[in-house]
Amino acid sequence: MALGKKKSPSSGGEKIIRTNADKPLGVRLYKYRWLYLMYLPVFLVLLVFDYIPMVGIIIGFCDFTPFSRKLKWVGLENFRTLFKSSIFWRAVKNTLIISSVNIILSLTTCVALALLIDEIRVKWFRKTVQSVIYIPHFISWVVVASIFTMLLSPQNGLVNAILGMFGVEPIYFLANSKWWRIMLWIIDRWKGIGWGTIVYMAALTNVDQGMLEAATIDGASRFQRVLHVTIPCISPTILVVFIMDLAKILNIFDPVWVLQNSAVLETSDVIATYVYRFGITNAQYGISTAAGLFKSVISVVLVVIANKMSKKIRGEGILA
Amino acid sequence: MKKSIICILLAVVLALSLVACGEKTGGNTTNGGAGNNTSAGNGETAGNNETPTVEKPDSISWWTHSGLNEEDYVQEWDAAFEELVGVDLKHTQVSNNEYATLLDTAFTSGTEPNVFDLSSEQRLTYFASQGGVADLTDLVKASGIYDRVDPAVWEAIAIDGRIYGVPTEIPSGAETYVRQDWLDRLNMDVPTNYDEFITMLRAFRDDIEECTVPLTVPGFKSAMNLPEFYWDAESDFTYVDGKWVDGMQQPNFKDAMQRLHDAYAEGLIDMEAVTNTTSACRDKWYSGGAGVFNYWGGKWGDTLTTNLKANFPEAEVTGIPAIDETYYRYSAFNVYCIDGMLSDEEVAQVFEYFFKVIFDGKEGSALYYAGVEGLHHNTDENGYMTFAPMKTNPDNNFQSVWGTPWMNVVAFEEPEKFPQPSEIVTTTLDTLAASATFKTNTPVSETLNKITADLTSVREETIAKIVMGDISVDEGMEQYYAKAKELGVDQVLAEMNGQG
Repeated sequence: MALGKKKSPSSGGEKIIRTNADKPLGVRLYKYRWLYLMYLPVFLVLLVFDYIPMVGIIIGFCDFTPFSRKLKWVGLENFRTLFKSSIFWRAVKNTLIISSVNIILSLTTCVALALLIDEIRVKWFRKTVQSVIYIPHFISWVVVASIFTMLLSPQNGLVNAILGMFGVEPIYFLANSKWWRIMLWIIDRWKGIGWGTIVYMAALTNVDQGMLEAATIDGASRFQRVLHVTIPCISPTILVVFIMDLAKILNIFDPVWVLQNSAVLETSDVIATYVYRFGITNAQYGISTAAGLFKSVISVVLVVIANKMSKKIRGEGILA
Repeated sequence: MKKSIICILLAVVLALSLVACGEKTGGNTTNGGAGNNTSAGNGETAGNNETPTVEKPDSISWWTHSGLNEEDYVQEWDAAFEELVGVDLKHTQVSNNEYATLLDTAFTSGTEPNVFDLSSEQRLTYFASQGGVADLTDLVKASGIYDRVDPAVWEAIAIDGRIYGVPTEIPSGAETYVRQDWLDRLNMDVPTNYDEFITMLRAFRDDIEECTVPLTVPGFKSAMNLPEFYWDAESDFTYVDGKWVDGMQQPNFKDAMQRLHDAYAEGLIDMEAVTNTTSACRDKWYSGGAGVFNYWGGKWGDTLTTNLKANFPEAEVTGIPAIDETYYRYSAFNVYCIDGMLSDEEVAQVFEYFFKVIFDGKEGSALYYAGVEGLHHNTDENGYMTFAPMKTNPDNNFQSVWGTPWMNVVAFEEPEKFPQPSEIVTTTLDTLAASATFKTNTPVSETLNKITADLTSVREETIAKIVMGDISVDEGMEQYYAKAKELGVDQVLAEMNGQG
């Protein structure tokens, strides 16, 4: 039987049901012409700003500076330079550490907060809480960095003033390698936790109330209902968010760049800041493109692995 | 049908949005200017009244990233230039913080301006080595500009004997400002050597109640901003006994690190130096908590005093001479360059109708340095110019336009008629002139072009860790030597010394 053709269960003969895929392309295009028309601007944006610039990947294999009028092919030389650099590998290690913890924290805190908000029964209070926790998302990272630099100042910062009341010596949080990542994670959560709950709040509205009522009748406590009913119900959403976050794991830049300083480069330098230094500050486009390409390839590999694991564990993934 | 109409309308709106975005981006790049703007014109005479030997271009594109605020009559200035020269000036003001990046990007996309400025240190060398700037040697010499400049200046900015840019000002230098009123309260004199300097900082820390930071500074890497601790050490490549060396691998650098480490541990240097920006340091100075701040001389001496006094009227500021063990440092010259991608004919056109105008020493220079009569400056009946109040801040007068008149390099015909500096500006400039040294041009090194980003971060990281006590001086320097070797600093030095 040809693909896309199904036997009719109601008949014993070879009655064929035609699917959309059987129809000629022209017919299908005409049928959905208005949808395609609406999609056209989006497609153009993707084409112009995402796909056509991909041609620039070739720069990763060339010696290219702002004054190059022709591309000088150097093969894998830029990659050799990168892979020989201990600073690059340090950046890779930092990226993986910072981003991995970020993903875990993001998932757990956002899901937890969404569950807590879901439990709020007073409508106006619930809406107020939601609105307030979304606000930090709209503050730029530069402003956030300024705020926290002041709050965490060892000389006159609020945090150290409070610690001082308990006899703790001032801590220079943002210039101390041991504290810097912890501060980054805390600040990142402060900024992103509210916005991150939106998708889970939407998922929670689809949780089957009947199942929750059944669990209640069966004597399940509130915590047991969350653990055994609510979380399994929203787990497909958690999985989708996890895989999408994984695709962005190596992209972390803004928070690191604005909070970084020379005293903590050992623990804060990430691939994106490395690429920025080479590409933007130093105009070495070849090496920075090579580093960017390396980052993209690793991201794709991570997403494919996560998707395969998801298929194995849950029987479904988000990619084809 | 209704759905179809809605779909079409939505699609049209989205498509128009996209087109609008595209136009906006395109507009910016167009403003960047291009070599093609310099097409032949009608051959009228230039503003300097000399008979031109080159044809007048239709337009000249020019980027600035400092000088006047846009609201301070920039449009009027551009119009005055166009009226004087008869050339369409495509003037784009670029954010100072992003200038280097935007210029690189403009070159990459072929939308660079005809005229732009570069630091004569590493940027000019890099651009010259890549053909990004035109060789102006013959034009400068033929124009007479060469003879109106101190030969030492040409020597300082020349690369392999060739001139790639003309400086508009003598470079800024940094000097150390001290709270004179605190010294008076402590019955102390201005320090003249390292021991006295440290004693002063300790006295500020211990005996001045409002002192929160004895000395504030943005970062530890710049010898220019911490001369009292660096002495003659440098954290960059430096010229010693006829050859280029890595300043951080010199014996005097370890001593400098030890001095910085000890002072930081004692609480004499701002604890937050590593996260300080220059504006954060200025704020600490203006808020009256800092006793010592090394910053630009000249008009900044005036600004630092005025703003501090606005908050603390009894405050007094003095710019101290360099202590015995050290000297002040000038930053590198900033030079005006012409796009190296232009043809020789186009370069000559831009030189004739821009450089020869602003460096004519007469009305062109007056326009460049003192601005538009009645807006930026006023002229008395004897032809003496004084700066007018700023539009954006009427309480203050302009102190410069695109260049500061009292810091000009190409001599004016009647310098006394240009606006003159205030007393404190003259004092700080004299202090600098007494002990400051010019920066020597770094020679071309292809390897350095490639490793600059990594090398700079390694240097900053090493210095910060040593000063803040994360590692000992010896340990830190050993780590740096290993990293420098890995990055290829030996090869850089070989290339700089002509052995690469």
